[in-house]
Amino acid sequence: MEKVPPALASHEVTDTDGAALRLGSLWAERPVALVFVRHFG
Amino acid sequence: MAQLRHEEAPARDAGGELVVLGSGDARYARRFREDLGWQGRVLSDPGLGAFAAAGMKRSMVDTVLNPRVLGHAVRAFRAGARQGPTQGDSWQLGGVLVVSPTDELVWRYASREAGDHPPPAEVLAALRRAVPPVPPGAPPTA
Repeated sequence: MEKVPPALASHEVTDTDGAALRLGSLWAERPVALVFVRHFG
Repeated sequence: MAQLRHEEAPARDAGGELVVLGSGDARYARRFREDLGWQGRVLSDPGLGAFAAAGMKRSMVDTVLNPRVLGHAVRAFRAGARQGPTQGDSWQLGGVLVVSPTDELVWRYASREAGDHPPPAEVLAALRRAVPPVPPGAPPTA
């Protein structure tokens, strides 16, 4: 099965408090559906 | 993608999580969370690095000029959706990736044009497939 692109897993984003997190940490323990939205609202 | 808010609890029940990622900043992410009553994580990627790494499409034609966009907008409006001011890149399209704890890309959907979203049932089915099998002899979980 295809692997997640390393550039995606290592990419840093911010949460609603402005704290940075690495995307790959999201699915370290359970599967994630990562929903890319065009815009908030 | 607003209809996915109804799938948050089923996703948790399936052993997974729905996470929203947008290009607006944290202020817009907070408002999105409050407006939709979204319980889960909402993340910001203003530089669109994750969108690019995930292979999401960017197109002026498919965000503005494609006639199917108007049809999607009418259906969303009739369903009660009201779009606020656009933040970030207006030509960026969305989609969904389902990823397993072993870094496998279990399922992928890239929107063909603005307003094109995957059926929520397909997202949930992919999440269920992404849950690792329980090894023989493992203690039962709560």
